[in-house]
Amino acid sequence: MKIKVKFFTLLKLYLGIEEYEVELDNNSITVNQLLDILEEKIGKKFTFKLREGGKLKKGVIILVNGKNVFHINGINTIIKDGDVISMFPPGGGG
Amino acid sequence: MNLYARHIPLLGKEGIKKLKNSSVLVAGIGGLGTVVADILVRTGIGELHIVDYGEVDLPDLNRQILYYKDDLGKKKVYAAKQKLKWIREDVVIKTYTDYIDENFKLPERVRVIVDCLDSFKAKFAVDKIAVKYNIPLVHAGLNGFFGQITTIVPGETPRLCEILYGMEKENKKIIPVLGSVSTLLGAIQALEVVKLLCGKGNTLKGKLLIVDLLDMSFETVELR
Repeated sequence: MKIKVKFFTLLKLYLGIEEYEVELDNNSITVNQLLDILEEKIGKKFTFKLREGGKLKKGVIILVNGKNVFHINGINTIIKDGDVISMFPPGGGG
Repeated sequence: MNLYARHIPLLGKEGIKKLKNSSVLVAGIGGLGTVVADILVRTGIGELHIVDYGEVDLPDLNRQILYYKDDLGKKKVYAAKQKLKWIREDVVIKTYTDYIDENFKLPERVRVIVDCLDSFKAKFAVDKIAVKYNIPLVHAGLNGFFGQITTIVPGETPRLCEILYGMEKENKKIIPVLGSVSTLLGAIQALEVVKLLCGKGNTLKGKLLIVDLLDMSFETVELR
């Protein structure tokens, strides 16, 4: 399976990466597994910003094909071949 | 010469008439709201409702385009109304000095709400108001060089509280911002309102535009 991860705004700035393609032999993985893979591949600790105690932290939005994972199955949301994952901390200012 | 001479080729006389007969709520009259209100008045909106409890403070002058040194300490809604009336005497401006929450009674004629607020709590409150009154909400939020914009249409698109779920916790930190960022995002919000009211072109309905002005990139994510 091949999936595309897009980092936006402050997360992109922090990681210095805009987009990352992950290729795996699996048919599917969870968001939690994806975070482990990304941290290992990118080689920079960042998942502490996204999860805590086995759950997703509030503050960074993770969309799978445009839907907030909190409305799918949170950290256990299944990601399949061809999915696009977007991650960004939204701006709250006006 | 007609004030709208340069708009007529784009919006048509019918579009100008629609704007003249329209009423919009601008929630928050700061970095985004002053730009939205200024553009909507210059584009010919008939009626604006402006809600903001704040007063003009010195750091506001870096970007809030309707305020000047003489306005320091004044209620923002009154200072804004004065400048908007300088642009067009005939525009109807109604002001509210309340902290907006979900119980805000939306004036009957309002057809679009523009989210120019500076906290997720208040942003989610106008999301509830938009659903309650079944009218579109044009959202924007910013942080530093970055921001996002989308247009919520109740029943057709995900709600703001769904897209940005988990952000309701208040962040007490001061949000850094440059005038270029708030002005650009506000200008896009104003255009969304004009397009919604005139039925022109494609809007950000069901799409999230993520703006990165440090990298000068604009990316749209289709929402579900």
